[in-house]
Amino acid sequence: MDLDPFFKPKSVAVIGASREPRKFGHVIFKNFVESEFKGKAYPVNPKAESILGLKTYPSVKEVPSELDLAVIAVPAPMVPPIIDECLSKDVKAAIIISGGFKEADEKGEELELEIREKIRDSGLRIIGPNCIGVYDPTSHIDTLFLPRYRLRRPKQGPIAFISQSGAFGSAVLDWAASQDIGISKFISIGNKIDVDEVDLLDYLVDDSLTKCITVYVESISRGREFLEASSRVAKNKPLIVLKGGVTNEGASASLSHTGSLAGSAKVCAGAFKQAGVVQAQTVDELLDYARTLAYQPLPKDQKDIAIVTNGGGFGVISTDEASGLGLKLAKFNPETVRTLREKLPEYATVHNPLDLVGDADVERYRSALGAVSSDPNVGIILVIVLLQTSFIESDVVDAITESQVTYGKPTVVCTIGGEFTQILVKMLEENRIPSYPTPERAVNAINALIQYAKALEDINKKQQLNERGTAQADRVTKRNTTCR
Amino acid sequence: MLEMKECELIIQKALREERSSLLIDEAYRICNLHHIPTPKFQVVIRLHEAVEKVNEIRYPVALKIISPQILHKSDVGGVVLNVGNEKDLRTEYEKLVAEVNRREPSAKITGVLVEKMMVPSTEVIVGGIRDSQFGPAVMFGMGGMFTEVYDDVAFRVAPIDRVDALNLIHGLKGSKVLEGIRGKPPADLDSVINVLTNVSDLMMEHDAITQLDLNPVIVYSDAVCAVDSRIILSETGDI
Repeated sequence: MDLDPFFKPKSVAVIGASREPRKFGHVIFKNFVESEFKGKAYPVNPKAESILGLKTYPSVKEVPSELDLAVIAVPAPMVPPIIDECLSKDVKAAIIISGGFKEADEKGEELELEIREKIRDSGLRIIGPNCIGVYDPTSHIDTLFLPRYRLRRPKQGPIAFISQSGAFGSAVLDWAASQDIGISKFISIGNKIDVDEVDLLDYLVDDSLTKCITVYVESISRGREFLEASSRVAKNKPLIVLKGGVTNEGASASLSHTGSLAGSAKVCAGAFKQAGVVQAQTVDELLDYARTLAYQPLPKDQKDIAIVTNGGGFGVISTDEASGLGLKLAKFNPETVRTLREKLPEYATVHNPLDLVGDADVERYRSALGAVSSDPNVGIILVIVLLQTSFIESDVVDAITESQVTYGKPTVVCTIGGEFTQILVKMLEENRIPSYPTPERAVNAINALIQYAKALEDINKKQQLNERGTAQADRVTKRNTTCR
Repeated sequence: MLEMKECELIIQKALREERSSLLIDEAYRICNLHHIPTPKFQVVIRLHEAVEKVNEIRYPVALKIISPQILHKSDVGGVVLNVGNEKDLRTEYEKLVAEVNRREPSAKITGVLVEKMMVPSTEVIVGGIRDSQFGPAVMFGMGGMFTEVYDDVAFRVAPIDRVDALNLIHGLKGSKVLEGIRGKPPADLDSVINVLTNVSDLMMEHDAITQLDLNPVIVYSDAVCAVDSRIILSETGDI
């Protein structure tokens, strides 16, 4: 793959590597030295003899080996000549961290055009400029210029994350690390002089470590190609997009009614649905959806939800939220009802949402989850566990995980609380059972799972339709042209 | 294909005459050529001609003013609905022309469209636009209050297939109306889907068309009919 050098380079030059600890070039080079990066990293700086005890090279040309990747962190006007050097040395990929391009002024825009012209018809691919580059916890590529004590790096996991904004990307990464959420690859694309979201979708669709792709974009440079790439991804793995900079305002001066109703938000929402993209409307949703879609299997034909709870109120709120979203609660079949009556105390009422009552212990959860999970009327399970009661212990995590693994039904947890709860939240995360602090967020994540499952069904339906040939559909289309 | 050729000729003629929108009869013709049903219609330039042509269409009819300078016909009194007999046709025709002349003296009236008055039923809106990010797109909305007040419209990017069209319809809050509520029979969804896929084709085939309105499309249990059509060629020219 032509983007491999960004993620699996054997040799990297950091251009603008500096001895000043607060300079970007210093932090980036230090990342390579201090991480478990297996390849070779060369600092390039004409003004220094050595950095972190390693010999520096005055220019890319002097580096005594072939280079897969150049990370460029020098002021914008110095970038074009460095690109020339990279081209003459046949460097395969470059990440331009530097700002001061299109986002700054006209002069910066001209610099971008100049670089674009230089790499045209060459093999050199570029990410950036004005970005924080790439973080890959598997190959330990880390071009993030933010020090680790400020931005903790997430562990290896199934979620890929593409962000047009570097600041947004780094904040989310730091937060993900704090929640023990693992990622497969992070790419900050900045001004997208060459590599854009379309290229990356095409690359990540084949990346076996990536189970789910999340994207934050403000501008989509190649709209129709983006939709095509998105449907290719959606066929294979879930794609969640948070699109910034959309507005509901139609063109009020428009000559047609349609034009005045067509806000970019609405067209975008329609386009995403069509391509099988799960659209996130908020930052919360982006990662909430990603965790459920990356960790849990898809529901089969049956998509009705069973709610199992030890708190009545949370069960009611979840039910309300589900019905608000048009989701259906499962009707337990008679056998399930019989089993539950046997296993549950008399004062528990046996219907969905299933309230195990405040004195529920782990054993009660275990038998309830077993009964509910084996019910063919149940497609998805929402487990609400409030850990403030002393009846329940941390092995409820095992009970939930076991029933998920045994019955293979997508399972989402809702639990909220302080330090004790947080320990269990991390255990659940470790077991890849997504948990959320509020019923609304949990149900919303389930909704995203159902949306994606339905989008996949539509994709298959379309394929069948196309295979059967559209001849029949055409015949229907071409009948009476005027009303009688 | 001959149909496409004729559509292009209509569009080219309008562009040559520096018009940024099509006349109602041209827009209807393009719809018909794309298998989108409209009422039966005739263009006349004299009252006696109208009286004569009604025999083919039959009462009741609607009258619509045709003028390159008038895009919003009803705003200038340029539409008369439910004309039921010859006596009314004679008075309404003269009143229509006089009223438009009074309100828009500078507009050149090139004719009057006489069209079959369709029986009322559920109304929907179908549209086409070119989005700056995603290109040609199709809009669907439920008519009346649903669109005006609740903004209940949705889009898909062209070209759309029948699965997209059905999802587009079902994505609307108001689409329950089409299933037949309050004892009404369910709507002819197949024909609504045809209109959507045909509008999609139309937007894909004619680059010069920047916007299109079929507002409203009347939906019956066994047919649909677009009873107004507006086709915009460019936003820049004068209307």
